[in-house]
Amino acid sequence: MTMQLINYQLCRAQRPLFKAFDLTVGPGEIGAITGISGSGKSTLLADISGILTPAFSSLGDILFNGSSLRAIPIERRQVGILFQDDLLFPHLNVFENLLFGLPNGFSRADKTTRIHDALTESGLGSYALRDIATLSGGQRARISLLRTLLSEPKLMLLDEPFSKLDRAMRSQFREWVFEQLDHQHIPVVLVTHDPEDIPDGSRVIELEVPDA
Amino acid sequence: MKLRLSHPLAIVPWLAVAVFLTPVVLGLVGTWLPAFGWFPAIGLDHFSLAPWFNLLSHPSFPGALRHTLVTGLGAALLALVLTALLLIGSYPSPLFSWLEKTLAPILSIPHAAFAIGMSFLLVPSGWLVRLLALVSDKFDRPPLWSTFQDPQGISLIVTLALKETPFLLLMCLAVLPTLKAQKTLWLAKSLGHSTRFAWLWLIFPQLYQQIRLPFFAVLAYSLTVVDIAVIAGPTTPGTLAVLITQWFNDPDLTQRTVGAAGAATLLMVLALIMAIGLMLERPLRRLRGLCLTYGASGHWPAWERPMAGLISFLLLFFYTAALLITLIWSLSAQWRYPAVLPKRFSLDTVAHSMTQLFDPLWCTLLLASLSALLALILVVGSLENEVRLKYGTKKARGQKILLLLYLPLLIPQIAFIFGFQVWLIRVGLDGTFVALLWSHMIFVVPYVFLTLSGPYRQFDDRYSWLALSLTGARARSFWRIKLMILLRPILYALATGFAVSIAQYLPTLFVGAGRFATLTTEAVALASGSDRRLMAVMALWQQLLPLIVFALATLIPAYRFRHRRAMSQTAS
Repeated sequence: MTMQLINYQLCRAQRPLFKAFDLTVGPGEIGAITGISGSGKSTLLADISGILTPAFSSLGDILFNGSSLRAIPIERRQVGILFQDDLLFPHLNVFENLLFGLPNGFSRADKTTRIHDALTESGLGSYALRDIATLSGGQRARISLLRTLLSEPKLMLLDEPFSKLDRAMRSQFREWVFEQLDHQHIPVVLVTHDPEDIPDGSRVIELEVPDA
Repeated sequence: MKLRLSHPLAIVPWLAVAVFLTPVVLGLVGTWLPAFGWFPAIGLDHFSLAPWFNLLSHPSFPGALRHTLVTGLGAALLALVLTALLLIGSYPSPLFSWLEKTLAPILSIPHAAFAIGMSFLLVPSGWLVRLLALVSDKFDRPPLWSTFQDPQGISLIVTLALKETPFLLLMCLAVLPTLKAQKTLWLAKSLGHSTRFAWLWLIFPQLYQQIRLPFFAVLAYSLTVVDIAVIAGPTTPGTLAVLITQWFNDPDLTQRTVGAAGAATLLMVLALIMAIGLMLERPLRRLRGLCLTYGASGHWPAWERPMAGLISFLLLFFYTAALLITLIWSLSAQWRYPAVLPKRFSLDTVAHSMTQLFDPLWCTLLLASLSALLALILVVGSLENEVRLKYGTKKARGQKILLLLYLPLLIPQIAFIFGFQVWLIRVGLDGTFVALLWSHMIFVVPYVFLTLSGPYRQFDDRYSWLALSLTGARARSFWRIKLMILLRPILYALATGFAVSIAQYLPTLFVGAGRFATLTTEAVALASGSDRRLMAVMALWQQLLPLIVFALATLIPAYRFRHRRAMSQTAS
C-alpha cells in the first residue's frame, strides 16, 4: 500500500497555490505537509479524499498502489479523514457513531465486540451509550479517530487534527494517535502548520509559494 | 444560464421553478387576454376595450377601489408601524428570542379562521361588548353601530394588520443580527442619542432594505386578499378583489371579461404602489442624511416602551381570544347576549357537523400532506443540486432564485388564478385533483424553500464527506446522516408547507371548479350565513390542523433526540 503524489499542484482561478512537488508515502510511513495558512494544505487533502470543489483545479496525479485515484469517487477511495473538529454525528451516541463506519462484512455480534474492544483499549470502555455532547474535547477526539480506524481505511488523512485541543492534552493525544496509526500499517498524510505535530522520521514537504 | 443535464439532480431546480412559475405566467396571460376582450372559450375572438369600459362604468367600481386602497394600504402600513414600535420599544430583550421560536405557529393560523375568530370578538354582540357589559349597564343590548364589516373597513384593517405583524416581525428578527443592531444601539447611546434616534435613522433604513420583499408581499396580500375581505371587509361594495371574484363566478359569462379587466387593474395598482414605494426611498434617504447632520434627535419622553408592551399584549390577546372564542362557540348550546359564557355546553354541533365535515377535512388533509411532501422533495432536490455544484457565484444565483421565489407571493393570486383555470379548462385538467394539488404547490413550494434553505445551506458538508468515506454508501450517508441531522428543520419546513396549503382559498375555489371543498372554502362559505356554531367548528378545525402539525414537527425530533443535547440546539 503506497500513496504517491506526482508532480502535484493545486490552482485556483488558473493560478498555482504552490510549487509542484512529488511525495511517496509507503505503508506505516507518514508524509507531512506544512505551509502557511491559505497555502492550500486542507484543499490538498480534500483532493486526495475525492471532494475537491470546482473552484480549484488540480494538476499532476494521485496514485494509490500505482493506479490513479482521479476517477474514483470519495465513497470508493477507502480513505479515512480526521479533521480538526471531531465531527462526531450529533444525533448518534458513541456506539452508533462507531457502528456507522464498520464494514458490512461483519455480523452484528462481531461488530459489537470490535467496538467494545476498541473503546476498552482506549480507556473509554464505559462510554458506549453516552451522548457525544456530554464528552470532553479529548474524549471526542479519540472517538473520532477510533471511528475512522474501525472503518479500515487503506489511507489515512489528518487535517490539522491537534490544532483545536488545548496544550496539556495535545502532546498526549498526538502520541496516542500515532501509536494507533502505527498498528494499522497504512500510509498517513498529515497536514499541519505546527512543526511540533510532525513525528520524527516523517517525510516532510513544505509548500513553497510559487514564483510570481 | 445553461441547462446541463449531466446529473439526474440537475433537472430538479428547473422542475421546482416550473411548478410554481408556469401557472403564474400562463395565468397572467390567460387573465390579460380576456381583459382585452379575447376569450374564445365563450365565443369572444376579437380584441376590444369593452371589458375596461364595463369595469370603469360599473357602479361599484369606485367604491370597491377606494375600499381596496384604504384597507390594503392601511393594513400594510399599520403592520409596519406596529412592527417598528415593537422593535424600538423592546428589541434587545429575551422576549424576542422566545417570540422568534413561537411566531411560526402563530403565522400558521389560516387567515380565514383568524378572521372568523375576530368576528366573534368584534361584532356588536361579540365578546368584547359582552365583556364591557359586565362593567357598564349601557350595553344591556348590543350597540347599533357596526363594529365588524364596517363601511370604513376598520375591522378589515385591524384583522389584516394583526395577521401581518407577526410575519414582518419574524422577517425583521431574522435579519437584525446581521445588521449588528445591538452594537449600533449601544454605540448611538454612548454618543448621547436616544434609542428612537438610533432606530429611526441608523437601523431602520438598513432594515427596510432587507425586508423590502417581505413588506411588498404583505402589501400585495393586503390589497388583494379575498377570504379575509369576505369575512371582515366592508360590503356593498366589497373590496375590489372580492368584487372581481364575484364577477369571475357570475352566471353571466361575459362578466368574466370584466373580472379579468378588474384583475389586471388590481395588478397595475399594486405595481404602481410598489413603484411609488421604491421612488420614495431616495427622498427618505436624503431626509435621513439631513437628520443625521443636524442631529434631530428630539427629546420626547420614550413612549415606545409602554407602547410596545401594549402592542404585544394586544397581539397576544387577540390571537388567544380568537382561538378561545372559536372553541367556545363550537361547544356552545345556549348562549344569550350579554352572557360572557354560554349557559350550556354541548358536543352536539361538533358531532352533527362530522358528516358535513368529513369530506372537506379529508380533502384538506390530503392536499396539505401531498403538496407539502412533494414540495419538500423538490426543495431538497434543488438544495442538494446546489451542494453538488458548489458553484463559486453562489450568492448572485441565490439572490436571483430568491426573487423568483417571491414572485408567487408578490403577484396577487386573484391576478392569475382565473387565467390559470382557463388554461386548465383548455387542456381538460380543470376540476381534477392533480390540478388542485398543483395550484396549492404554487404557494407551498416557495414557502418550503424559504423555510428550509437557510438551515440546509448551513449544513457542514464535512459530515457528508466523512459519512461517505466511512461507509462507501451514498444513500446511507444521505438518509442516515444528513437528513437525520437536518430532521428538525425538515419537519418544520414540512409543517410550514402543510399550513400554507390549508390556508389556500382562491386556488381551491377556482381550480377545484366546485368539485372540491376544503375546510377553508367551507368556512368562508359559512361565514356569510347565520350558523355561528357550525362556522366555529370549521374555523376550529382549520386552526387546529396546522397547530397539531407544528406540534408534531417540534415533538418528534424532541423525542427522537431527547438524549442528544447537541440536537436540541439545532437552529430551525
